Amino acid sequence: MSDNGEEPQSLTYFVRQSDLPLRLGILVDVSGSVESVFPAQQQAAEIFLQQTLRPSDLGSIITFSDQARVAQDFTGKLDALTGAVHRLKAGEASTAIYDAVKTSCKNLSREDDRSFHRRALILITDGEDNSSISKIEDAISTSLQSEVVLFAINTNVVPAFTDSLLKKLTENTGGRVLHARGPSELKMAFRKVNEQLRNQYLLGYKPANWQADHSFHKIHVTTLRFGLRVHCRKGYYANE
Amino acid sequence: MKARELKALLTVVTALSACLVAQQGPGPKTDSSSSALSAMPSSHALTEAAAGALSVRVREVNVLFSASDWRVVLSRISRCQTSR
Repeated sequence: MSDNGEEPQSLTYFVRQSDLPLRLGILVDVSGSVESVFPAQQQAAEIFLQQTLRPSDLGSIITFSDQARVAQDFTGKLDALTGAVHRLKAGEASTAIYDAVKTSCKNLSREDDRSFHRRALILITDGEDNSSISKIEDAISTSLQSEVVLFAINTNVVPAFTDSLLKKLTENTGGRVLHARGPSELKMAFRKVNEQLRNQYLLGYKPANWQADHSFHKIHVTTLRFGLRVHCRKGYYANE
Repeated sequence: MKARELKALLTVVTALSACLVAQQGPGPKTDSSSSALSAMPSSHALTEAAAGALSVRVREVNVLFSASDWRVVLSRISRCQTSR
Protein backbone atom coordinates (compact mmCIF):
# COMPACT_ATOMS: atom_id res chain seq x y z
CA MET A 1 0.00 0.00 0.00
CA SER A 2 1.04 3.61 -0.40
CA ASP A 3 0.16 6.99 1.13
CA ASN A 4 0.71 9.86 -1.31
CA GLY A 5 2.89 7.52 -3.34
CA GLU A 6 5.14 6.64 -0.40
CA GLU A 7 5.42 3.42 1.52
CA PRO A 8 4.13 3.78 5.09
CA GLN A 9 6.60 4.09 7.95
CA SER A 10 5.04 0.98 9.49
CA LEU A 11 1.96 -1.23 9.27
CA THR A 12 0.39 -1.44 12.70
CA TYR A 13 -2.34 -4.01 12.18
CA PHE A 14 -4.22 -5.98 9.58
CA VAL A 15 -7.41 -7.76 10.59
CA ARG A 16 -10.59 -9.09 9.09
CA GLN A 17 -13.33 -6.83 10.36
CA SER A 18 -16.56 -8.58 9.54
CA ASP A 19 -17.67 -8.34 13.15
CA LEU A 20 -16.86 -4.68 13.74
CA PRO A 21 -20.12 -2.85 14.61
CA LEU A 22 -21.81 -1.14 11.73
CA ARG A 23 -23.49 2.27 11.58
CA LEU A 24 -25.74 2.06 8.57
CA GLY A 25 -27.78 4.75 6.87
CA ILE A 26 -30.30 3.99 4.15
CA LEU A 27 -30.92 7.10 2.10
CA VAL A 28 -34.08 6.76 0.02
CA ASP A 29 -35.03 8.94 -2.92
CA VAL A 30 -38.75 9.78 -2.58
CA SER A 31 -39.03 12.01 -5.63
CA GLY A 32 -41.72 11.38 -8.26
CA SER A 33 -39.31 9.83 -10.75
CA VAL A 34 -38.85 6.67 -8.61
CA GLU A 35 -42.56 6.08 -7.96
CA SER A 36 -42.93 3.08 -10.30
CA VAL A 37 -40.16 1.05 -8.64
CA PHE A 38 -40.83 2.27 -5.10
CA PRO A 39 -42.81 -0.68 -3.63
CA ALA A 40 -40.13 -3.14 -4.80
CA GLN A 41 -37.48 -0.81 -3.39
CA GLN A 42 -39.19 -0.81 0.02
CA GLN A 43 -39.50 -4.58 0.07
CA ALA A 44 -35.84 -5.11 -0.88
CA ALA A 45 -34.68 -2.61 1.77
CA GLU A 46 -36.71 -4.38 4.46
CA ILE A 47 -35.20 -7.77 3.52
CA PHE A 48 -31.73 -6.23 3.48
CA LEU A 49 -32.16 -4.81 6.98
CA GLN A 50 -33.37 -8.17 8.28
CA GLN A 51 -30.39 -9.98 6.74
CA THR A 52 -27.70 -7.42 7.53
CA LEU A 53 -28.23 -5.87 10.94
CA ARG A 54 -26.68 -7.65 13.90
CA PRO A 55 -27.23 -6.89 17.60
CA SER A 56 -24.22 -4.55 17.78
CA ASP A 57 -25.28 -2.57 14.69
CA LEU A 58 -27.39 0.57 14.41
CA GLY A 59 -29.36 1.68 11.38
CA SER A 60 -31.19 4.81 10.32
CA ILE A 61 -33.62 5.65 7.51
CA ILE A 62 -33.36 9.00 5.76
CA THR A 63 -35.51 10.19 2.87
CA PHE A 64 -34.79 12.97 0.46
CA SER A 65 -36.33 14.97 -2.32
CA ASP A 66 -35.34 18.64 -2.21
CA GLN A 67 -33.91 18.09 1.29
CA ALA A 68 -33.06 15.20 3.59
CA ARG A 69 -35.41 14.13 6.39
CA VAL A 70 -34.76 11.54 9.08
CA ALA A 71 -37.59 8.99 8.95
CA GLN A 72 -36.01 6.85 11.67
CA ASP A 73 -33.00 7.91 13.71
CA PHE A 74 -30.27 5.44 14.71
CA THR A 75 -31.63 2.37 16.41
CA GLY A 76 -30.84 -1.31 16.73
CA LYS A 77 -34.54 -2.18 16.69
CA LEU A 78 -35.26 -3.96 13.45
CA ASP A 79 -39.03 -3.47 13.73
CA ALA A 80 -38.64 0.30 13.98
CA LEU A 81 -36.40 0.38 10.89
CA THR A 82 -38.50 -1.88 8.68
CA GLY A 83 -41.64 -0.06 9.87
CA ALA A 84 -40.12 3.27 8.84
CA VAL A 85 -39.25 1.88 5.39
CA HIS A 86 -42.76 0.46 5.03
CA ARG A 87 -44.38 3.84 5.76
CA LEU A 88 -42.36 5.77 3.15
CA LYS A 89 -44.17 7.34 0.22
CA ALA A 90 -42.73 8.62 -3.03
CA GLY A 91 -44.02 11.41 -5.22
CA GLU A 92 -42.30 14.64 -4.19
CA ALA A 93 -41.11 17.17 -6.71
CA SER A 94 -37.33 17.55 -6.85
CA THR A 95 -34.14 15.56 -6.14
CA ALA A 96 -31.12 16.92 -4.26
CA ILE A 97 -28.79 13.91 -4.01
CA TYR A 98 -25.55 15.68 -3.10
CA ASP A 99 -27.16 17.75 -0.34
CA ALA A 100 -28.77 14.61 1.07
CA VAL A 101 -25.48 12.66 0.99
CA LYS A 102 -23.74 15.47 2.88
CA THR A 103 -26.46 15.64 5.55
CA SER A 104 -26.52 11.86 5.96
CA CYS A 105 -22.72 11.55 6.26
CA LYS A 106 -22.70 14.21 8.97
CA ASN A 107 -25.49 12.32 10.72
CA LEU A 108 -23.50 9.06 10.52
CA SER A 109 -20.42 10.62 12.12
CA ARG A 110 -22.15 12.41 14.99
CA GLU A 111 -19.84 13.05 17.89
CA ASP A 112 -22.12 11.55 20.51
CA ASP A 113 -21.29 8.11 19.14
CA ARG A 114 -17.67 7.43 20.06
CA SER A 115 -17.50 3.64 19.77
CA PHE A 116 -15.20 2.18 17.11
CA HIS A 117 -17.31 1.13 14.16
CA ARG A 118 -17.69 1.12 10.40
CA ARG A 119 -19.96 3.61 8.67
CA ALA A 120 -21.88 2.91 5.49
CA LEU A 121 -24.55 4.78 3.58
CA ILE A 122 -26.74 3.12 0.97
CA LEU A 123 -28.26 5.56 -1.47
CA ILE A 124 -31.27 4.29 -3.42
CA THR A 125 -32.03 6.59 -6.33
CA ASP A 126 -32.47 6.93 -10.06
CA GLY A 127 -29.55 9.33 -9.90
CA GLU A 128 -31.13 12.42 -11.42
CA ASP A 129 -30.01 15.33 -9.22
CA ASN A 130 -31.84 18.52 -10.16
CA SER A 131 -31.84 20.73 -7.08
CA SER A 132 -28.70 20.32 -4.92
CA ILE A 133 -27.02 23.44 -3.65
CA SER A 134 -23.85 21.41 -3.02
CA LYS A 135 -21.64 20.08 -5.77
CA ILE A 136 -20.65 16.44 -6.16
CA GLU A 137 -17.14 17.31 -4.91
CA ASP A 138 -18.64 18.62 -1.64
CA ALA A 139 -20.54 15.38 -1.14
CA ILE A 140 -17.39 13.30 -1.80
CA SER A 141 -15.30 15.46 0.53
CA THR A 142 -17.87 15.16 3.35
CA SER A 143 -18.06 11.37 2.85
CA LEU A 144 -14.27 11.07 3.07
CA GLN A 145 -14.02 13.31 6.12
CA SER A 146 -16.79 11.35 7.84
CA GLU A 147 -15.14 8.04 6.80
CA VAL A 148 -18.40 6.78 5.32
CA VAL A 149 -18.43 4.09 2.62
CA LEU A 150 -21.10 5.05 0.14
CA PHE A 151 -23.05 2.56 -2.00
CA ALA A 152 -25.57 3.59 -4.63
CA ILE A 153 -28.35 1.40 -5.94
CA ASN A 154 -29.26 2.91 -9.27
CA THR A 155 -32.91 2.23 -10.15
CA ASN A 156 -32.88 4.24 -13.37
CA VAL A 157 -34.24 2.25 -16.34
CA VAL A 158 -31.41 3.71 -18.41
CA PRO A 159 -28.59 3.57 -15.83
CA ALA A 160 -25.99 4.88 -18.29
CA PHE A 161 -27.51 8.38 -17.91
CA THR A 162 -26.64 8.66 -14.25
CA ASP A 163 -23.96 6.05 -13.72
CA SER A 164 -20.87 8.18 -14.17
CA LEU A 165 -21.83 10.65 -11.42
CA LEU A 166 -22.90 7.92 -9.03
CA LYS A 167 -19.66 6.03 -9.73
CA LYS A 168 -17.64 9.14 -8.99
CA LEU A 169 -19.59 9.65 -5.78
CA THR A 170 -19.23 6.08 -4.49
CA GLU A 171 -15.89 4.79 -5.72
CA ASN A 172 -13.99 7.63 -4.05
CA THR A 173 -15.30 6.38 -0.71
CA GLY A 174 -14.59 2.66 -1.28
CA GLY A 175 -18.16 1.84 -2.26
CA ARG A 176 -19.72 1.06 -5.61
CA VAL A 177 -22.78 1.43 -7.83
CA LEU A 178 -25.19 -1.44 -8.33
CA HIS A 179 -28.01 -1.53 -10.87
CA ALA A 180 -31.54 -2.56 -10.04
CA ARG A 181 -34.37 -2.09 -12.49
CA GLY A 182 -36.76 -4.61 -11.00
CA PRO A 183 -37.54 -6.54 -7.80
CA SER A 184 -35.09 -9.41 -8.39
CA GLU A 185 -32.24 -7.04 -9.28
CA LEU A 186 -32.98 -4.95 -6.20
CA LYS A 187 -32.65 -8.01 -3.96
CA MET A 188 -29.42 -8.98 -5.73
CA ALA A 189 -27.99 -5.45 -5.33
CA PHE A 190 -28.70 -5.41 -1.60
CA ARG A 191 -27.16 -8.88 -1.30
CA LYS A 192 -23.95 -7.61 -2.92
CA VAL A 193 -23.80 -4.65 -0.53
CA ASN A 194 -24.25 -7.04 2.38
CA GLU A 195 -21.44 -9.28 1.06
CA GLN A 196 -19.07 -6.35 0.72
CA LEU A 197 -19.92 -5.01 4.18
CA ARG A 198 -19.36 -8.40 5.77
CA ASN A 199 -16.06 -9.04 4.01
CA GLN A 200 -14.02 -6.02 4.94
CA TYR A 201 -10.47 -5.83 6.23
CA LEU A 202 -9.01 -3.16 8.45
CA LEU A 203 -5.48 -1.97 7.82
CA GLY A 204 -3.71 0.43 10.16
CA TYR A 205 -0.49 2.22 9.31
CA LYS A 206 1.72 5.15 10.18
CA PRO A 207 2.37 7.33 7.12
CA ALA A 208 5.96 8.17 6.26
CA ASN A 209 5.13 11.85 5.99
CA TRP A 210 2.19 13.30 7.87
CA GLN A 211 1.38 16.79 9.11
CA ALA A 212 -1.93 18.20 10.26
CA ASP A 213 -2.11 20.59 7.32
CA HIS A 214 -5.61 19.49 6.12
CA SER A 215 -4.08 18.33 2.85
CA PHE A 216 -5.52 15.37 0.96
CA HIS A 217 -3.49 12.16 1.10
CA LYS A 218 -4.07 9.61 -1.65
CA ILE A 219 -4.31 6.01 -0.50
CA HIS A 220 -3.57 3.10 -2.79
CA VAL A 221 -4.13 -0.48 -1.70
CA THR A 222 -3.45 -3.44 -3.94
CA THR A 223 -3.20 -7.20 -3.53
CA LEU A 224 -0.48 -9.56 -4.65
CA ARG A 225 -3.00 -12.17 -5.76
CA PHE A 226 -4.00 -11.86 -9.41
CA GLY A 227 -7.66 -11.15 -10.23
CA LEU A 228 -8.65 -9.23 -7.11
CA ARG A 229 -10.09 -5.74 -7.22
CA VAL A 230 -9.74 -3.66 -4.06
CA HIS A 231 -12.52 -1.32 -2.93
CA CYS A 232 -11.29 1.33 -0.49
CA ARG A 233 -11.52 5.07 0.00
CA LYS A 234 -9.27 7.02 -2.33
CA GLY A 235 -7.73 9.05 0.44
CA TYR A 236 -8.16 11.10 3.60
CA TYR A 237 -7.71 14.64 4.87
CA ALA A 238 -4.79 15.20 7.27
CA ASN A 239 -6.79 16.71 10.11
CA GLU A 240 -6.00 16.58 13.83
CA MET B 1 4.05 57.92 38.92
CA LYS B 2 3.89 54.59 40.83
CA ALA B 3 0.12 54.33 40.24
CA ARG B 4 0.67 54.80 36.49
CA GLU B 5 3.29 51.99 36.46
CA LEU B 6 0.95 49.71 38.45
CA LYS B 7 -1.86 50.43 35.96
CA ALA B 8 0.42 49.57 33.02
CA LEU B 9 1.48 46.34 34.73
CA LEU B 10 -2.16 45.37 35.33
CA THR B 11 -2.99 46.03 31.66
CA VAL B 12 -0.14 43.73 30.54
CA VAL B 13 -1.23 40.94 32.96
CA THR B 14 -4.87 41.20 31.78
CA ALA B 15 -3.82 41.04 28.12
CA LEU B 16 -1.58 38.02 28.73
CA SER B 17 -4.27 36.08 30.61
CA ALA B 18 -6.84 36.83 27.87
CA CYS B 19 -4.34 35.53 25.31
CA LEU B 20 -3.83 32.30 27.28
CA VAL B 21 -7.60 31.70 27.57
CA ALA B 22 -8.00 32.23 23.83
CA GLN B 23 -5.23 29.69 23.07
CA GLN B 24 -6.77 27.07 25.34
CA GLY B 25 -10.14 27.31 23.57
CA PRO B 26 -13.45 26.18 25.05
CA GLY B 27 -11.87 23.12 26.71
CA PRO B 28 -13.29 19.69 27.42
CA LYS B 29 -16.90 19.40 28.56
CA THR B 30 -17.37 17.15 31.56
CA ASP B 31 -14.60 14.76 32.46
CA SER B 32 -12.86 14.79 35.82
CA SER B 33 -9.54 13.56 34.38
CA SER B 34 -9.54 16.19 31.66
CA SER B 35 -10.56 18.98 34.05
CA ALA B 36 -7.37 18.27 36.00
CA LEU B 37 -5.44 18.50 32.75
CA SER B 38 -6.99 21.84 31.87
CA ALA B 39 -5.03 23.47 34.71
CA MET B 40 -1.83 22.57 32.83
CA PRO B 41 -0.72 24.42 29.69
CA SER B 42 -2.98 23.15 26.90
CA SER B 43 -1.66 20.23 24.88
CA HIS B 44 -2.65 22.12 21.73
CA ALA B 45 -0.43 25.04 22.71
CA LEU B 46 2.46 22.67 23.44
CA THR B 47 1.98 20.90 20.13
CA GLU B 48 1.94 24.18 18.28
CA ALA B 49 5.13 25.23 20.04
CA ALA B 50 6.80 21.97 19.12
CA ALA B 51 5.64 22.16 15.51
CA GLY B 52 8.54 24.37 14.47
CA ALA B 53 11.12 21.90 15.71
CA LEU B 54 9.23 18.80 14.70
CA SER B 55 8.35 19.04 11.05
CA VAL B 56 6.83 15.57 10.78
CA ARG B 57 4.23 14.36 13.26
CA VAL B 58 3.10 10.80 12.88
CA ARG B 59 -0.41 9.56 13.34
CA GLU B 60 -2.09 6.30 12.59
CA VAL B 61 -4.42 5.97 9.62
CA ASN B 62 -7.14 3.31 9.38
CA VAL B 63 -8.23 1.97 6.02
CA LEU B 64 -11.20 -0.31 5.59
CA PHE B 65 -11.18 -2.22 2.36
CA SER B 66 -12.76 -5.18 0.65
CA ALA B 67 -11.68 -7.14 -2.39
CA SER B 68 -13.74 -8.78 -5.10
CA ASP B 69 -12.47 -11.56 -7.32
CA TRP B 70 -13.16 -10.80 -10.98
CA ARG B 71 -13.07 -14.49 -11.91
CA VAL B 72 -15.87 -15.24 -9.43
CA VAL B 73 -17.89 -12.26 -10.72
CA LEU B 74 -17.45 -13.39 -14.35
CA SER B 75 -18.43 -16.98 -13.58
CA ARG B 76 -21.60 -15.75 -11.79
CA ILE B 77 -22.56 -13.63 -14.82
CA SER B 78 -22.01 -16.51 -17.25
CA ARG B 79 -24.04 -18.84 -14.97
CA CYS B 80 -26.93 -16.31 -14.97
CA GLN B 81 -26.79 -16.02 -18.78
CA THR B 82 -26.79 -19.80 -19.20
CA SER B 83 -29.80 -20.23 -16.91
CA ARG B 84 -31.75 -17.65 -18.96
